[in-house]
Amino acid sequence: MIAWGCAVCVGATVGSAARIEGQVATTWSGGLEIGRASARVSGADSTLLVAPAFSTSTVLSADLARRGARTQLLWQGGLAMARTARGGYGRMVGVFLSDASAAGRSGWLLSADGTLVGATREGKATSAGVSGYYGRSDVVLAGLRVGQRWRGRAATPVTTLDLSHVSPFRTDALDGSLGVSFTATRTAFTGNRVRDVVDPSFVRTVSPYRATVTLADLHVTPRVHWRALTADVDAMTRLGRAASVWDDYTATFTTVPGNSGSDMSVQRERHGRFGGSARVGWEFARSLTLVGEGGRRLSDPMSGLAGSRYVSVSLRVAVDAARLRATRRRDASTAMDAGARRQTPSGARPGVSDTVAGVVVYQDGAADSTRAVMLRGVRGMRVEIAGDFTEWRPVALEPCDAAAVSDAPATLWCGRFPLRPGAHYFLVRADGGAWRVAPGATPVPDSYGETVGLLVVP
Amino acid sequence: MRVVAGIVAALVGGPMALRAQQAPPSAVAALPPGLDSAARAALAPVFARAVQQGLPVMALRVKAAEGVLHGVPSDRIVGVVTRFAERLVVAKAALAPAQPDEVSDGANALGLGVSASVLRDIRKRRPATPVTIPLAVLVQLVTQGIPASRAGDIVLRLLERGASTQQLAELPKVIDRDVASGVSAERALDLRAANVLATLGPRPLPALPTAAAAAAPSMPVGVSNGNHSGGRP
Repeated sequence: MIAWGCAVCVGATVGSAARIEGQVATTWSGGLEIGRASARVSGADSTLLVAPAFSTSTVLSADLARRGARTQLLWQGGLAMARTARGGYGRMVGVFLSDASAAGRSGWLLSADGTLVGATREGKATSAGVSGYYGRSDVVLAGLRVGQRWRGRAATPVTTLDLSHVSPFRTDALDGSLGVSFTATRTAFTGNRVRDVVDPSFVRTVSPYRATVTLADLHVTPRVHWRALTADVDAMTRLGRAASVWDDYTATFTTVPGNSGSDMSVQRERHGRFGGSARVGWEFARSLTLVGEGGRRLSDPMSGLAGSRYVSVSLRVAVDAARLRATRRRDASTAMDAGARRQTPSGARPGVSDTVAGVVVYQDGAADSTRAVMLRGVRGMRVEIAGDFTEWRPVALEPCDAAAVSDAPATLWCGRFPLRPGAHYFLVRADGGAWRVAPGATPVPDSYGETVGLLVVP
Repeated sequence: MRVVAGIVAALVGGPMALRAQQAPPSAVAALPPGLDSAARAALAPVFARAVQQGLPVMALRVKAAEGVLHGVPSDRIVGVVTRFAERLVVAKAALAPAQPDEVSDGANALGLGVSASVLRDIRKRRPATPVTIPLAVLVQLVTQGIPASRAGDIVLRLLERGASTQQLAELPKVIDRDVASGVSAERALDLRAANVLATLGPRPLPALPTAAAAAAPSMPVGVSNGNHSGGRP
């Protein structure tokens, strides 16, 4: 949702998703990001078009998240309003990274997940408590990430093996990456209870034909960036017999609070073995990106959600805090810079550093003339820097602290460059997006009429 | 007809190709990747001239590479790099004797409206030490909205009074904070520069011997220049 990582950033998304199975939904979300904390409010209006069960509902939800070097806290709350009932829910997720995960690429994390769900129709809470825990370990060998996950308690026990590899490429005209990942999931279903989006008083329990299923998914994800255009494709196929087992036989139990018993129906669904999505982003103006996306999701055995097709169009708005020079953000930037000094890259001692917020240069006594650079506030899975010290060639930065969270964007990036004392000019970009002035760097006009960031190294 | 076309081609394309062929290999090798053949042909003599004039060719390469990254048309890259080479010549003369980095930073300052005379005066006040930091501070002040002449005056005064590199480098940062709290950049510069000047030794008299005047700026902060024992610590 946040289009661009920055010390202070607002983002908004308005889109629509059409589920082919008779449901049309429109969604919107807005967010604010300040330093390591972020907040998001989103809403969805859903209409079930299949006669005679016409119904509408509105769902409002809010996320609050704070990310530290080794921790992440997420709070989610929501309110569902439908014609027949009202419902609400709250959820708290805490994630803790190991030292290795925080410092390098290999390590483990633990997560605890608590959920409170209430249906206000009867004035009683229907469920509460810790709903599950989650663990993961990652090992990176020769660029290949091998991860294993566990999930337990109320959620379905799941063991997952991930193998993934991403190869970046670049030509004179464009750049991008090609990612390949293989995920094998073995799960013993005990029944997934899913609160219906349309009417929260209905609980849909989805069970597969078999109690234990092994799913193997292969994803190929090319990404290309050319000037203001970024294109992502995620093509996936589900391997083996398990796909048909899962898709062909799905038992649905519908339970209505206050009524005894439940209805059960067995559906024969075919979601196919092939899914994926395509997304194109066009940064048609500074800080404005138009994103179109469509695809086909295969069923998710872990959440019990059925597959669907969808399309969406969204507009992302980012306010680069570096440009709001005459605002109170400076104070926050100073505080952020102080925080950055405390998180010195491994092996580097904070010496005389540039105090431009968000970009810190360390004199770490290296034998060569290079200096360690730490960049804060650029959120992404892959962040590159280009400047006079790289001869304006893009160089990928390494995540300083969040490398172990492979599926979460990092905001703290490190690199080492030959930086002599004096003025340097540079730009950064995240995930193959447009080049921008780094948060905290002084924007200055260059000879080409563009704006670049100024970094002064004492 | 074919003969006429050949003559036209020779007249139009010949000199350009010839210039490219005549450029020293080192100059051609310095051209950044990503340029099309026309731009390479046009920039080769610029780079060759820079080699002959002792200009920092790497700075030209970096400037051209910046244009490639921005994706600007080749003719604009050629124009920008050519003008930058001209500024390098001016900066080299003004900052002489200068290191390549100083020449490059000086050319960037010229591009923001700083005059060559300011560069000359900076060198006069720092004849034996690198001036990359004073030049960087100058660039920062100008980009903060302070007129180049005013920024040049302040930097020269600070250098004259022996301001340290750290004191110079801190100046734009504190001005940034002042601006954020609502003070105009020029007013903040006056206040902050006055604060720094108040901690430095007094202004050297014009009649002082040249050697003593030259030595004064390199004195540590708080140390008198030797001719005025009443300077503030």
